[in-house]
Parts: sequence; C-alpha cells; structure tokens
Amino acid sequence: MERPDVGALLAAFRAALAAAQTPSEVDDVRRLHTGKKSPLKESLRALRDLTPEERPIVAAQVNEAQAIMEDEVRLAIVAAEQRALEAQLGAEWLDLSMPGTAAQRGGRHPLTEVEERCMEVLRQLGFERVDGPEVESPYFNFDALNIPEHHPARDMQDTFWVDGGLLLRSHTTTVQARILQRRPDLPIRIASAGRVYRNEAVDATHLAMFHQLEGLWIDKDLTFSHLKGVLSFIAKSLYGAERRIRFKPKFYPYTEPSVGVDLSCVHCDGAGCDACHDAGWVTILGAGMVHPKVFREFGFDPDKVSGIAFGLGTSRMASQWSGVTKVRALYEQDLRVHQALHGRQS
Amino acid sequence: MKILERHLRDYIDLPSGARAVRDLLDDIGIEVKRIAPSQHGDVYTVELLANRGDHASYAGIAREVCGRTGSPIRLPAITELQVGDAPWEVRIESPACLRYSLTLLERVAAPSPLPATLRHIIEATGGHTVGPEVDATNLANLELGQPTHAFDADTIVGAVTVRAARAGETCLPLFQQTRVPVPEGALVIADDEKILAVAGVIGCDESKTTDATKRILLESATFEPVSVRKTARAMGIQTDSSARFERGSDPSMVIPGAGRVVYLLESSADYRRVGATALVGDWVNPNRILPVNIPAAGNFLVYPLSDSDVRERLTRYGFEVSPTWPMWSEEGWTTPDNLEDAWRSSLRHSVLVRVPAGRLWDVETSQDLYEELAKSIGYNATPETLPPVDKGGLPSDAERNKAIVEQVLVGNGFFEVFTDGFYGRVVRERLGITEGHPLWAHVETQNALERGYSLLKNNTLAQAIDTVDANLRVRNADIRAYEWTRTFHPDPTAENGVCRERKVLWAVGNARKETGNWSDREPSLVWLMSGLVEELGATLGLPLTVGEADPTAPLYGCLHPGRQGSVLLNGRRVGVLGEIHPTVVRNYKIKQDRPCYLEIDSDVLTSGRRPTFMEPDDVHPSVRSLAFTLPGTVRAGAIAEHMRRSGPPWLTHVDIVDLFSHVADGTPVRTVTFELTYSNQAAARSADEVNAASEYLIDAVAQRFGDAGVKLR
Repeated sequence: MERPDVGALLAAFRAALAAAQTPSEVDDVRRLHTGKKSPLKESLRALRDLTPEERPIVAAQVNEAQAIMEDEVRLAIVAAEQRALEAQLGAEWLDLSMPGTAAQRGGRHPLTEVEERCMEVLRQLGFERVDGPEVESPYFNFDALNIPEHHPARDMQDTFWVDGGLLLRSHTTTVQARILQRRPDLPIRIASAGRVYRNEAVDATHLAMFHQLEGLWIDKDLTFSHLKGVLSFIAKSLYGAERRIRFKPKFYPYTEPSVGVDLSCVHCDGAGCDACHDAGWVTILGAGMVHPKVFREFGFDPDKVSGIAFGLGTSRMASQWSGVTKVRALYEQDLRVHQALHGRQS
Repeated sequence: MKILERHLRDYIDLPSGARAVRDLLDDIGIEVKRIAPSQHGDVYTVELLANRGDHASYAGIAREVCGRTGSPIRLPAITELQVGDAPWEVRIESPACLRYSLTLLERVAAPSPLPATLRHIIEATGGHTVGPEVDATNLANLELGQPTHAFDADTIVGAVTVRAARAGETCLPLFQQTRVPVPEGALVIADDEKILAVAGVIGCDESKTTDATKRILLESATFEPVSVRKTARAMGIQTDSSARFERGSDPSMVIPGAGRVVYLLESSADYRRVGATALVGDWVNPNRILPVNIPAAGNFLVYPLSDSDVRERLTRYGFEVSPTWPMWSEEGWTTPDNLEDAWRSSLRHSVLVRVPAGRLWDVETSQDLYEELAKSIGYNATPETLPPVDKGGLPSDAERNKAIVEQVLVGNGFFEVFTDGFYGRVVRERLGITEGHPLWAHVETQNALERGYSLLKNNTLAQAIDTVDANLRVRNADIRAYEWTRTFHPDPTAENGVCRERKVLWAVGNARKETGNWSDREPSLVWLMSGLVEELGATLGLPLTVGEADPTAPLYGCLHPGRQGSVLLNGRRVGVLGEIHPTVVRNYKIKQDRPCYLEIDSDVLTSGRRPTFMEPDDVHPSVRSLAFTLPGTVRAGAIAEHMRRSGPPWLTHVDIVDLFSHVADGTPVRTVTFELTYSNQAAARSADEVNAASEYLIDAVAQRFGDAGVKLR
C-alpha cells in the first residue's frame, strides 16, 4: 500500500482556502478537505492497509495536517466574516445629509401661550377662567359698566353693531358683568380671555378683532393697596421680578380710581429710547377698583364689598414676547410666521 | 393736546429738565406721548383722560400739577365783565344750552395782531394765527379751556337765539365750500334768518369776522355735552371746541372766558366794549356736596391721612372742604338737604366736600374723591400689599382637555391661527351657498367700516380655505393649521333673541408631498384628518368615530361627495371631515391643490374624560388575518364593524392593516386585510376554536356583504 501524500493534501487544501472569500465558501472548503468524505479522512481509513511501522508515522502526519487545516479554517472564517461585514456596512451607507423624516411638530399661537402664561400666574391667586358670548347686549357691554349712551368711552370703543340691536363685545369686561349678575358667593376671582372687536380700519397696528384678558376679584375689604399688590404680582410674575413698574392715573368708566401700569422699557430700563418713544416705560395693564355704580347695578352694597379689576392686552403681549413687531401679522394666516416662531425655516 | 412747556411754566412752577417734567405729568395722569423741540421751546404732546374736560387747557393742567405739588397757580389777566342789560337781544329755547353770554365790542382802530409771544403759543401747538379776534378766542380756549366765538355783529339780523335746528335747515360751516344739512334737533345759534353757528361745534361762514368787520359779538357759553357730542358725530365735524364741550365744560367759566378774550382785544386799544355782557341760561350750581370719611379714605388707600391733610390736598384741586365733623361752622357748612340720610349717621370723622362747577361732570361719589387723594399722594407713594390668598387654582377639566387636543394637533404638525369673527358676502358665492341653503342666513353687522366685515361667520370652512389660499400665494403648499373659534347662527329662540354661538375647532391641511398614505392612488390628508379624530378620541377618552357622510350636514355640499365623513360621538354627528369640493377650491382660484378640512364641536372635545385604564392581557392573544375584496363603494369600516358585532366576546380587536387597490376584470377593486385578535386571557382557545370563529366571521361577512360583491380573497 502506498503511503498517502499528506503534503499534497495540505497544499490542495490551502489552494482551495485561498480561493474562498465568503464564510460559506470557507465552510465548503472545510467540508471538502476535513469532512467525512474528504481525502484526509480517507487517509485515516487507509491506515489499516499500512505496515505496523508506517501506521503511527502516517497517522501522526494526517492528524497534524487535520489540526493545521482546522486552525486555518477557523482563521479563514473569521477573516471571511470580517470581509462580509465590511462589505455589508459599505453597501448600507446612507447619505445622512438628506433631511430627516421625523414628523415635524406644529405650534400653538403665541397668543395662546400668553393666555396660558397669564392664567398660570392668576391661578396662583385662585383665579378661575370663565367664558361668555361674543355677541352681546349693549347692557352688558356698556350700560351695566357705567357707560351710558353718548358717554365718551363709547367713542373709545367704536362698536360693531349687529342685528337685533346687539353688538360684538368691545371688551371682555362683559363676562365680568355677567358673573356679577349671578351674584355668586364671595370671594369672586375670575379671569376672562378672548376675542374683542373694534370697528376700526385695519392697518399694521390696528385690528378689527384682537384679544384681551381681564380679571376680577371681589371680596370684603379689598383696598387700593391690594389692587397695587395684585398688579405688581402679575406684572413681575409675567415680566420678571427685576423689572421696575409704576402706576399712573387712568380713566375707565367701570373703575374708580383707575390705574395704568407701566413697565420699564426692556431696551433702556426707563432711561428713554427710540423703542419706547423716549418715555422709558411701556404700558402693560389697565386696572382699578370696581366702581360703586357697577356694584349697585348688580345689587351689591359698595360699602360692604370692594373689587379689583384689571385687563391685559394679550395681543400686544403676544407681539412683544414673540418679537413679531406688527401685531397684525399674528392675525394673518401666513404659516411661515408661525413656522419661523417655532424654529422652522420657511 | 399739544402744550408749550415754557408757557405752562407761566401758570405753575415745574421741576427743571424735560425728564422731570415728563415724569411729573405722567405721574398725575397727563401722559406725555412725545416731546418735540420748536423754535418757541419744547412742545409736549399729552394724552388727557377721556373724562376730564377740565384738563384741556394750561390752567387745567396747572390745576392738576397743583394738586400734587401744592405750587400756586398763576392765571392770566382777565377783564371783569359786567353782566347786565346788554345791547343785543339773546334768548335760549333749549335746555341743552346751560349758559350763554354775548359781549359786544367795536373796533376803534385797525386791528393789530396779538403780541408775538401770545401768537407763538398758538403756533407752537399746531394752530394757525388768523387775526386778533379769532386768535384771542383760540388763545383763551387754550389757556382757560373755555371755548368762545366771535361773530361779525353786523351780519346778524334780529335777536340771537339758541334753539334746536328745524327739519331741512342747512348751514355753511367755516372752512367748507358748500352748505350742509343740520340734523333736526341739533343745537344751533341762529338769528332771525340763518344759522350763525352749530352750538359748541363750529361757527358759520356768513357770520364770521373779516377785515371789514366793525363790531364783534363775542359768544361764551356752556352746552350740554351729549348734545354737542351727538351733533358733532352726526355732522362729522370735530373741533377743539367740540372736544372740550363733549367732556363737559365749566359753566362758571363762561364769563371769565369771555373776560380773557376781552382783555386780549382791549389791550391793543383797537377794541372797546359796548354796554354790559348779556348772560342767559337756567344753569344753577347744584352745589354738589360729598362726604369723605377720613378713616375710611385712609383705609381705602392704606395711607395715613389726617384731617388737615385731606383738607389741604382736596383744596389744591379746587374743592371746598368743610372742617371735620362735629366742628363745622354753622355759617359756612350746614348739613345739606341733598345729603343722604345714611350719611348723617356716619359723619363723625368726616368732611364735606363741595365740588367745583368744572368737576361736576366727573366727581359724583366719595370714591371719586378718594381718587383725588390718591393722585395728590401719588399712586406710587401708597403701599402695595397682596391680599391673603387661601388657595391657588388648577386648570379646569375643560382647560386640560383643550391642552390635550393641542398636543395631538401640534404633534401632527398643525399650527394654531386666529381668524376674524366675520367675513364678506362674497363667501356665500365662493362656497356655492344659495338662498335656502342652511348656511345662507347670517347675523349681519350694521355699521362695518369694511365690506369684509359684513357677516358674522356661520361656518369656518371659508376661513380655512382662506388660510390655504394665503399660504399658496406665498409658495407655501405644506399647510396644517387649526383654530378654536366660534360661529354665529341666527336663532330667534336664542337667549339673546338673535343668535346662538357654536364653539368649534377646525383644522385644514394641504400637502403636495406626503408620506404614510395607504397607496399612491389615495388622497393624502384625508387619512390624517380621520387619524386625528381617532387620536383625539383615544386621548380624550371619547368614543369618536368617522362615519358615513350625512347629506343633511350644512357643509355636505362644500366637501367632496366621495371623500367626506361625519365625526360621530356615540352615533351623534359632532363634526365633519373631508376633502374640500373641487368646485369650491376652484372658486378660490386654487388650481392643483386638494386641501382637506376637519371640524368638531369644541364643547365635545373639552368635555372629554381620561381614558379608562384596561389591564393588558398577560396571555398572548391569537391573531388571524382575513383579506376581502371590496368592489365599488363598500366601506371597509362597515365590514370591520360587522365582524366586531358578529364575533365572540373574546374577539377583542378587528383592525384594518393593509389595502391593495387593483383592477379585476376591468373594474377597480380594493383588497383589504383585516387582523382579528382573539383573547386567551379568560380561557386558552385552541387553534380549532379560533379558526372556527374566523370561519364564522367569513360567513357573516358573506351573508351581509356578499350581494354587494364582497369576496374572501
């Protein structure tokens, strides 16, 4: 019997292994050269035909060759898997300079954000939000609020009259009047926000419809000092404790005394600049102690109860806070404005 | 009003420097809007309080400054006029004229202009100098707040009468070219032949003074504010005089006001009075007296107020103040008859305050006097205290639900917008709404300045399309917008007898590139809208579904007939959604876009409650899929609903998971895959049980929809 040529087997194995590129090709080489039907295994089965002297020598050669092959296969598999992985990763390259596909959020209107922020402040004082109709009677819009027919204040609020002698409310104070008419238990702490209407020609700074937020606090023994305390709390909560505020006399028919609240100009801190027309101050609030006539109109005794009323021009606040200088832009439906306010490029 | 700062200093001491003057005026309620230099000094534009006619003069502003600083007021020289038999007959025939005076002057020399320093006061504040008579009246008005007017006496025929205008009367107002009608009932000054002036508003051309004038009849009067106001508005004429009269002028200044004009004219020696001044009118000072309880005032302002303090401060503003009860002088102060009984018992520690004539229009209650005290002290000098607060508040359920809705919309890329409450009549045409349509009737505005405000909106679709249109015009086709608003619906049975208001949430979407659709053959954002309904229902705990379109819905004809649906809550229609009808879109000149619209009653959404927690099964369910071929317009949702109702109780979900649109035998069909989920929680179901249940559902669908051509694929 001729001795097997282990060296040739090893050489053939190595040639095949060198040609194998993928893990499965390497596995094929392993199966063909070290499997049960491989020439190597055939050599082991042929040992019985050798002389007793040759048998251990050849057996050792075959076993050594098998060990070499298995080691080289292991290495070849690792290398092939690495090549395959690299090929996969290369093939899966993505151009991440393309836009992402996450759903883009929209955004609430700055005015809604302002209203919500105001309500957060007012809720700390126990205020609740209430609502009322936009089509109103002249009684709730004017007469009940100490604004009789031909009163100058009716000029300040050029009114949209509609069918049936009704009108579109010119202020949200109407809601306060409706609440007072119900005579709820004291204390009353309510805030009303919403659309109001003025019959004006529209331009960059004048609108036929805009928004207000008004508050009313009725209780026993509320004083002018309390009015100032509440206004100061609201102003500093909304604009920052570091801002200076001042109070000045104003006229509103439904309050007496009436008060305006000015905030130091954010640009010049009161020194006067172009932004505040050299005033150094910007008016943010109108307020006052509820007028005795309003109390009497709804059956309250002004000697026994007193009240604080205030109003915020939320449209103007939304304009200031959002940086949209012309408030009209907030009432137009150009979504590019809203997209830009929420960080989107239009 | 514009004032010359230098001239104001003639009336009262002011701090030095524009900044300090501005701060002072702002602090007393005379808000400085602008300071502009002029060749005569700084001109201040001030905003006066709307109820303070007495402010509108140098003397009035000085009085307000005096109330704060206590500096004495220096009034200009005034000729004391003698009231008595006048050389001209004058009568009043209307109660709207409170006091009326006429003073006759004659020119004794060619009139020379007023001194330059006085003319500068008029010029610096935006006025034009005309001639000495007109300049003197204008100046007196600026200085004292008393409007006066000079007639050419030789143009007047007969007596001067203050009366109501008669029907059909006309006049030629100064500075106008043509005669204008005078509203019937308007207060006028007339002679026997013509109207000489519209009382308190403007003089007339036929009686004006000219270079040829020899005799001047000087009018000084007080008219009822409402009368002047109504006439000025009706005639569309606003003058400095009407502005003063409308806010209430001081009847006690009628004679001093004329006296100032006379002083200015006689100072030049070009004019001379003829006879005494005629004064007519029923006005009598009502001597309004108000009590001020000093401790109560102190408590109201939370400021220590002494008797002398109150007296001094109110006196500065021109009020007369009694000694403190019970130390009244019997001579000067007795308990007035018009003092309410209620006050008599509480007068201890009180003073009585007599209101000056010029403040009768705005000082009516004791609280008005508290305001005077507060102004005198300074609003910024009184303390501020936050009232005790027993508890803070939390958002209401409605507010929380609104926030949830906004999270859903914003999370899906929608931006909130605000639109007007009204629109123009053209909307009806654009929406294809004709008479008889449920949306034809609107509440109408009666006096809108612009056509676009004619109708209160009774739908929100119009403004949704406007939103799309506005954005397409700026090349922004990716549109998602929403609004919380309300619509107005004529309804005589409503509480106000005119209309009811419906609160509504609307959303509109438009896109030219959209992903996530069922297939390329399907419209885009309709699915987004129906998905919003599902998401809102889930997050608000409301059983909201999208059902078949309701032909009785007001917007039915405005939406695509095959691409719309009803938003249902427990089977009740609470909204609509769909693609906007191509015809309507074309009416807005929108060509290639197909916007989609959604609206839901706001009250439904804000009434939502948190979803009920359902414990998840801890045993895996069994899942089967069934695919049916649907011809025509058979709704997949109807099949899903039928299977839900027909299946066993342990069939927990029937979900539509796939759609394949294709053409079979030349007819377009859809193959829809339904995923059936069977619970194994209560009891483990064998594969045979689950398969039998599915077979049963196949039969149920075949029985219900087989005739319509639905087949198991």
